[in-house]
Amino acid sequence: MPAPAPAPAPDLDLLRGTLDLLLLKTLSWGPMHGLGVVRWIEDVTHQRLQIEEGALYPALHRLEERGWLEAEWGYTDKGRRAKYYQLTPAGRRQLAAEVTKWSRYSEAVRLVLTTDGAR
Amino acid sequence: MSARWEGLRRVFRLPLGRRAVKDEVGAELRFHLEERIEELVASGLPRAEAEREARTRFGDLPRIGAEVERIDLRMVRRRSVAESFEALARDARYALRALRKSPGFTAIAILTLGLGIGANTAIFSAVNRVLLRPLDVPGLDRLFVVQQNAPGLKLMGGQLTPGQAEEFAARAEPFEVFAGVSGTSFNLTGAGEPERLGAAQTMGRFFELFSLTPAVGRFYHDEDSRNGNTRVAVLSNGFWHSWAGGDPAVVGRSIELNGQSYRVIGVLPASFRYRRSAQVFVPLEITPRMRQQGPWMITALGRLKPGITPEQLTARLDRVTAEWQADPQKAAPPELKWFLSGKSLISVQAGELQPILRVLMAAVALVLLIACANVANLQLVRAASRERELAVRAAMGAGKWPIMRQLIVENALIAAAGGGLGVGLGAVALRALHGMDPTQLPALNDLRLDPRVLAFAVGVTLLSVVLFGVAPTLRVARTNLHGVLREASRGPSGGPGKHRLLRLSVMGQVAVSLMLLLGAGLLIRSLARLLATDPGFKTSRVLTFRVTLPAGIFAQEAQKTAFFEQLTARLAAIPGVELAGAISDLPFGEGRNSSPFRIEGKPVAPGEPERHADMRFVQGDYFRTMGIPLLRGRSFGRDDRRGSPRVAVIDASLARQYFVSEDPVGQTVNQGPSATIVGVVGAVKHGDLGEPDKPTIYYPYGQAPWYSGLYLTLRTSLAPELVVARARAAVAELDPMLPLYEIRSMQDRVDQSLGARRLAMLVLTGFAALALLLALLGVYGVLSYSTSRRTHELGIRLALGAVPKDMIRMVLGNGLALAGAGIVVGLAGFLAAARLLSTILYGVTAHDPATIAAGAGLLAISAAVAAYLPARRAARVDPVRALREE
Repeated sequence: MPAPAPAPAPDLDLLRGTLDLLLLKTLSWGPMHGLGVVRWIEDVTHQRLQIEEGALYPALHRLEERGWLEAEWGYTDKGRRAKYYQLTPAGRRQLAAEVTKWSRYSEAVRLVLTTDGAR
Repeated sequence: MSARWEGLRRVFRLPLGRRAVKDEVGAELRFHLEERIEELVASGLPRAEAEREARTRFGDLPRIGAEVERIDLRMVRRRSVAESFEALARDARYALRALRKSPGFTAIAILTLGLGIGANTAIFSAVNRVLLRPLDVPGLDRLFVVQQNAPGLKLMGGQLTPGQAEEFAARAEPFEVFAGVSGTSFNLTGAGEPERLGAAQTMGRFFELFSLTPAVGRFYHDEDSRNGNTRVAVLSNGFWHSWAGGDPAVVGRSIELNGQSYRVIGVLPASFRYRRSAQVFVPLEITPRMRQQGPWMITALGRLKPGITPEQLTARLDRVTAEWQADPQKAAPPELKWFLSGKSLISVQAGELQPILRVLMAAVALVLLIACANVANLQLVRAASRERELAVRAAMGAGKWPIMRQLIVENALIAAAGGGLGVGLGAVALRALHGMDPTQLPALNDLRLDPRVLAFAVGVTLLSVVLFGVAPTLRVARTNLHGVLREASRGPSGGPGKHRLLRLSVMGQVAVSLMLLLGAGLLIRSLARLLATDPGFKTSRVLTFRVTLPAGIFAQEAQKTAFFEQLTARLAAIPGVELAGAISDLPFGEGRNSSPFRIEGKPVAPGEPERHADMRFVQGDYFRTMGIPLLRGRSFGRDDRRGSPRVAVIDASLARQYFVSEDPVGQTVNQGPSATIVGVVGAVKHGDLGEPDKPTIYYPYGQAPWYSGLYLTLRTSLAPELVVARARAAVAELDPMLPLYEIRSMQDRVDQSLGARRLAMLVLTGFAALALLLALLGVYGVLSYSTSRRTHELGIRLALGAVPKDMIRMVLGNGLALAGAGIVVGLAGFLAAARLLSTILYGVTAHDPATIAAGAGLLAISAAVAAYLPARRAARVDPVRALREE
């Protein structure tokens, strides 16, 4: 799970799957560069979810490799060159699928956590 | 936001290089860190601390950078592969569409290539089999045959005597394995009809020579002979199947050969192809008599030691020659110029087919050249007529490379189709070649398209693509596209220098066709001359076969004489048989025996070459059966038998050479025992219609029944095949255990001697016809193309007062000039290559003026015909329409 930076690394597969989902969702709002993605997630979660920056770039490039993201060089508001990522149509479909999967998963986890042991 | 995307590159246009990827990743991560630091500085951290903090948050920068680079590189690679596949598929689709639009062009191009490649594949398969890899033996090129030669006797490449082979084996240092083999045949008796079996007698380490593993059992070794174990036999794989049904239990069985029992100890592997006619292999027993005056019967061969060169072998053989010459017991008369020599087994095996196959190889290469040139022409013409289309595409932004790639893909498709067709045609042609099997050369028997040949065909196809694909493409690439567009919009008339390549290629085709035509013409004339040659005997309605008496049973000379006397009498009595005779060595049969002779009272003059004559023994009505005319004196009669004065009949060739002004009848010759000449008969060809006459002396078999086997000759009033059964019965009446073999008509024997030449002539004629057709297509194509391109110009000329006749003259003149230039070049090329042909020609020289005139004339006339059609079209140009077409 994404966690505050010093926490020990949790299960990597889960982490990566979740991170991918977060990245896809974030980019569904429009093209952003890597740091933009980090900032956006931190803003939205009120700093509760801090992205491990080291894992961010491999994840972005892997998503690009799978054809879910498209990257293009552009300029920031301050005129600096930065690499912008954008969701492709395939990425949009993938996001929908991941969201469904995640909802089912979290619903299942919630059920486990909220059901009392009496049954 | 949109301003940011200006001038951006699409992701798959990422630079491909490793360095570019590294730079991009570096820039991306640097941007991240710098932006973060600025953000931290803005929030109040001192710069140094901000930097530390940013790095800590980021983590292991080099590792992450490296990982991202790896991902990107992988992605770039995959995408570029996928992209080129997509581009290729697109090109292929486009090419198919383009080819479908001109089905005529496509069909002709594919057919042309298919024919060229097919001929190539078939002939190369044959050459590969016969010249390059006649036997499947590892290290075949290290096997060498030791031969003896006596130029004084015109005997070259002869075998060794058993004594020589034994003695040489002791001095065979250049060889790691040395062996000898001698072809023979045995009467196989036992179950079923008696049969004559081809066999080989071997000495030394014969089987080791070929690195063989027995299919069953074992091979015999020297020890077997030393232990007196000489009655052992190894069977060929084929004979194992026909005789024993492929039963492995054959080992230990006994086999009756010439009335002697041999024990079968092993079977050869099916892959063994040396000495294919031999069904059984047995150790050679060298008797003291054979050692002393043995015939030249041993093919002595060995495997060179590693590191020994053929030159070193020759040097060694020269030394042995010198040693043997110094030995007074062995020294050959100096006028024989006797010596030993070594020759690779490959070239010995290829034999007389070698020069013919070389010619065919050259011919086939020329045909392929023409085919490729023709397709190149078609492409040039097509490319030129597509200039406009290509120019439009270029104007719309297609680069030169995509256009070139497009054309290359088109050519590759044509080449693939042509190559596929070629392999198919090649297989068919091989089957035909197999059916002809001109000389029963072992190597031609199991011709097949093998993988190496297929690889060759593929190579040829690829080469063709390069040859005819790139040349026209380069031209298009060079073309000034704007010029083409402008010109095309005006209605074109190709400039004179523009189609130089086209004209050159047509000229080349004409030249190569002429070379092939002349080659074929010379071979046809040679064959006609040979067929017109009188062999000295009548070939029609003569049946021949061989009977050999096993030594054990017919030991006495009187027995042999009596047997053949009775046999010829019985054969002559068969209804449908007019005459019957027998002879020791039949013309166009297998063996011949030649030895020196003296003429009593006519000593050899100093400087005169040794007198040498073929020696033949005849029985019954041989001369009349064969239709050999008696020129003087008498033939042999019943009284010329054992005990009566020895007589001989000489042939016209000997009479001409040694009895110029006197009557040979009554003179005495000595070729062993002396004999009085009683008659002179006509000279005959002994094995080749092209050979010069060889002096021959005939003796009555009854006075010298040395041979245990004779060729029987029957003159029949029916077709020869119809009397075979009765002849067989006649032999069986005398001895049911005797097989008849080599049953053939005389006509068949003579035809077979011409087989290789006939094959060469047929194939070369086919090639020449194909080449002529292709070249004419080329002339026609180029002229009609240039005529259609010049419609505008022709229209102007006509409008200015030229008459249609001028048009015809112009186009025709154009075509003839092309053909003329081609003919001159072809003639020069042919004269340069004529040496290759001269070895297989007979009765004509390679520079035969009549053939050359006929070939050049035929080509010129054909070219005129091919040029006439476009010329007529030019004459029919309607000036009004031609000018309006603008």
